[in-house]
Amino acid sequence: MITVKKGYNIFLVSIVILCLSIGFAAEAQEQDRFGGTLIFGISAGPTNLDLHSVTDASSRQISRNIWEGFAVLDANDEVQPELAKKWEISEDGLTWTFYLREGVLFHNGKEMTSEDAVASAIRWAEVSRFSVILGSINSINAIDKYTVEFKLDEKLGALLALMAARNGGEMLIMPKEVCEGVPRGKITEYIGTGPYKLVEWKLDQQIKLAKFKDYKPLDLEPSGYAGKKNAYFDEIIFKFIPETSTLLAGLETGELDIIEPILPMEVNRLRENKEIVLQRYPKWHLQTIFNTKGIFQNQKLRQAAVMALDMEQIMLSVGKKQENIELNQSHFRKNSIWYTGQLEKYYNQKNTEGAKKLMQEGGYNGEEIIIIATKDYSWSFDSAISIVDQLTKIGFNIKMEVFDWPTLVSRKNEFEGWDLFAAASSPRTDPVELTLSYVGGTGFYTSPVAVELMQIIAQESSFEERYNAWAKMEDHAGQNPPSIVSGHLFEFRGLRSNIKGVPEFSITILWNAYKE
Amino acid sequence: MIPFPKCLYIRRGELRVGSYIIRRLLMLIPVFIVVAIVAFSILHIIPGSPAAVMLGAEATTDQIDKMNKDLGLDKPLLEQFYLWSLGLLKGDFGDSYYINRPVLGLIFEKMPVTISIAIIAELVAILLAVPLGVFSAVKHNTVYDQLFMTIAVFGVAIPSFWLGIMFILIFSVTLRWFPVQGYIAINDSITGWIMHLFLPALALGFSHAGLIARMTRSSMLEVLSADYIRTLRSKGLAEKDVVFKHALKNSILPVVTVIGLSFTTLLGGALIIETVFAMPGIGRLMLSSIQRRDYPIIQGVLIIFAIICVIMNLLVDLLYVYLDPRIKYN
Repeated sequence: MITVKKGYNIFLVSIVILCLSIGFAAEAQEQDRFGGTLIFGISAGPTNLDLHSVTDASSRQISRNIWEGFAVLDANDEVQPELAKKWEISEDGLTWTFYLREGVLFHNGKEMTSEDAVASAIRWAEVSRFSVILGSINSINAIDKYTVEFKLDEKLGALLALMAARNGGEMLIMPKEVCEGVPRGKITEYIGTGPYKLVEWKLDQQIKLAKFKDYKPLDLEPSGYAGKKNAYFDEIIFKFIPETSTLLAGLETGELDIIEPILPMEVNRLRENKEIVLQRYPKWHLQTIFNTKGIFQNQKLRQAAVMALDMEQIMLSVGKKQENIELNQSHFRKNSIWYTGQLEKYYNQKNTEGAKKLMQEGGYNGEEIIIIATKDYSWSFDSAISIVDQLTKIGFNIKMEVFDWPTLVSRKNEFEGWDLFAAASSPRTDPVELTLSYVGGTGFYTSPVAVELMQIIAQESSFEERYNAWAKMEDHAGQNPPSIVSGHLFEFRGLRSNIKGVPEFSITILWNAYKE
Repeated sequence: MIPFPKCLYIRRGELRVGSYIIRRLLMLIPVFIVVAIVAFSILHIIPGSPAAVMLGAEATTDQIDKMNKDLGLDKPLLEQFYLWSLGLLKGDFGDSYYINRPVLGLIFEKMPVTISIAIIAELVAILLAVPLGVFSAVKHNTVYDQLFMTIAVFGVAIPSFWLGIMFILIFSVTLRWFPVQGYIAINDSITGWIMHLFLPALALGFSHAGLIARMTRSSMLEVLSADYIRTLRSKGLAEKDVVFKHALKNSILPVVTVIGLSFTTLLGGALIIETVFAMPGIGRLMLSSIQRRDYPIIQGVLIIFAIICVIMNLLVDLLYVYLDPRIKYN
């Protein structure tokens, strides 16, 4: 006869056996994920993997598997540790001390120490797109084998954000002998500490990465670029296929495991294919930049242009379908910690009467306005067409000039010959990235208020102070706009249905991905 | 006239072919000079700065000016041309602005891919076009003639990139006979090399076959209406011998000219096909270099292609001597 006590013991033992079974099953499942090759088709290959200085999407896509930095951004754009386990800022904000993780190896077997970090940091400060902002760094020194100290002439609270910026120009750590004194774009050895190492690069054809067996992952929940990275695949091969129909054919035949981008017109057809899974990811935020040296020196005319525009019409002319667009007036994604909502009242007003009034107040006399765009990127051309159409209807004398991309970016740097530039960039990760948009860079825009607020954003280290300054900056930009932010554009990537562990993120994250 | 040593003369007034080759190769020098000047000038006149492209849309004017200085693009044009030409004379075509590698090395690395596509496309074109043209000429004014010449016109009219995409859909996606994209070097795997080249070469070759077929047909028609052909027939020679042993041989010269000239066109056409099939050849290198204004690569490729063009023309001329002993160069 089974007594109550015996029954309870049997129950306890059953629970223990069940837990052990689940544990073993999970372990076995985890082991099953290891192995195999992932083939990723992308439309353009990098010419240069010197990520201290390049910013193109394909370089960034590949490089983050190979290199790591002091810090990274998670899915909400918050800074998280990576190679630096912690950091300290002196009270006056002029000394930053970084404590490196120990026992982290480079792909060549050498241990990463502070002298590698110092050499990488010095080079980064000189060649990155943030070099203008990083001018306040006085010196970077190794205090001991795992401690690095930055001495600043002025406070630079945004230093970590600059190091971790996701849109290129990140401070990635390379061996000292690889990067010390090497000019911009001239890195020739590709050695990092990441979960994969570069083993082959055939120009215009493919890059092959192999699992780095001595990789030391962080024990943190994965989020964005941050957290634990498991190299499940033995190899990852990036194939560069410029023709999107060929990319698609490769995915459908199984020659390719993942591809991006997918043309909007193919999305519905692919949804019916059970062997393919689609992921939607934010790709661009469209902004048409004013040249404030020309007719748009006049603030009222800029306000008029922004006030009149139907942003949904612009975005649909680019994205074609609602699922490909997001009406978002900010440079940041809505889930970013930097999204303030301050620009909502200035956005998508569709107020043509108000705009005409502003044009009159601004003294507009029908002067010709030139918007420059390129067909090399359809978002530029399509958004410009819509803007021309809408602004013409309210009385702007606007004409469009179309160039190829090299001519376009060259023309944009001249004071004359253009008034609007149909541009786009990846969604931002920190307001400090917008310094050149607000202080005399792109479009030559500046104002005393902008200078003061961007200075706070760059110098202060407290998130609250920086956030408040950014909110004020956005409000100021709503009244004194440097550009027309039309919205955010999404694209689709396709995965074979047996590929798991790839999060829906702006960049395709391949660590933690596996084949079922 | 360049005086040649007496040993080069077979008979008075007749030069050995060897000296003809030397003379033609010497013509490379003025071609080289003209192409170098034109390539350099055009590139530096067209708008768009490599520095602006490298640094991106958010670069400041100061950053671009500094990059121009690093690349030597702030020097006067004549000085830039002089320095570049000096390098050319030493066989140094310079380094790519983007790829950090010598231009000549890059071109030689990519050339086998493009040459492979062009050669196989040419073979495909010849194998399709010559029999088609001969058959059309022999069956002149019949339904076969009309049908094959219509196909030939389609070949000329249909863009090779469209054909390439159709071939991918049919033979790669639906039938799974061939891979969708990529390239395998011949020394890695001969089978892989052929499998990856077949569809691109077919797409490119089909477009050129039309032109060769029409030239073959009109050349054959001219020869088949000649008196000596009528004589051969009246003497009772088999029709296949009349066509293949006599008529085809005598009609081949214009066809060889078209084939030779179309080879350099095929090299240019390979640019589109390389993009469709993701093949890492000179065409893709050139296309991306133009998009980036990578001047050293563009200039280098133009010069190499000019040299290939001259050499192809020479080979065609030399083939004439082999095909028709009546032709002599003096």
